[in-house]
Amino acid sequence: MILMFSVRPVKVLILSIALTAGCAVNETGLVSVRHFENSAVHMVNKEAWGVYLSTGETDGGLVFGHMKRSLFYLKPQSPMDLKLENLIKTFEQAALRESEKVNMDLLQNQSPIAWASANEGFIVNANAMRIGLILGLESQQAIRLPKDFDGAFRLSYSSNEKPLAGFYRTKLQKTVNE
Amino acid sequence: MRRFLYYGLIVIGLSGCNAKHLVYVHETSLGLDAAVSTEGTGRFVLGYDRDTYAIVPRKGAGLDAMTLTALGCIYASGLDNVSFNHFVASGLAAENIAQDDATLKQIKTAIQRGGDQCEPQQ
Repeated sequence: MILMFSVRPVKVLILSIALTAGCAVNETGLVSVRHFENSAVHMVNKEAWGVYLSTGETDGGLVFGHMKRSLFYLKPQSPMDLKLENLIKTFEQAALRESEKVNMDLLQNQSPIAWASANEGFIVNANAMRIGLILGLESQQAIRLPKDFDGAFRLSYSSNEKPLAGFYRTKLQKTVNE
Repeated sequence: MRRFLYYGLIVIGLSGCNAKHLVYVHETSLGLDAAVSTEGTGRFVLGYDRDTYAIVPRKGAGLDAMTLTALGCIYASGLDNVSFNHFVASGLAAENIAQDDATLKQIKTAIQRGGDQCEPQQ
């Protein structure tokens, strides 16, 4: 009986925290989603507090706490000649601009080619990249290109500055995302 | 516990043969972190850890690794102040860039944010 009285306030407290902090699934619920793009790349920024469930292929998992991530997706692009003299200049000028014209469902079905994430709390990862759990803090910056990738990719990501991403495809590929 | 470790090693061993992606990763963790990766790495961390690694897959079974020209500059200060700069080219693009000294120098300068070394952002 004493045990029941001591456990009940704990349950109420956990439930209250979960309800007030909120929960979200992918782009639905209490999650901030912003979309940026340039001619070659989509970038989706997400941030959520509370309970966040993602079903994405490369970021699938569950976060209890805080999550912030930027996901970079390739746009369909025809192969083009690689002009070495303008390569870096072209990449540096490819600023990512905020845009609302995007079909999030289409992006959700693709695999991002790069991402940066920071999570705090209890995190369960169950995706194509890793399976495991974290209790504490973690951050990850990654590029993940298919092995039949033929082209050039440039990514500059910093927690303090606007990211920069560019892509050249030099040969038509069967699949961009596996 | 011993059985768990055996299973973990088997999973890591099997996945290491099957890398299907070219991967560049920088990751930091503080706390408890236990994971296996489908690209062939595994980790168990209790405390603080920071890893930077790349995985270059073979073109096919028994074939050479991918043809790559890649330059990277990663600067980290603290847990959340990270600058991750990468350029990677593969296939024909990699061959062309690797043979052009001027382009390589331009890429290196851009990756290092205009400096001679990989330096923090101002």
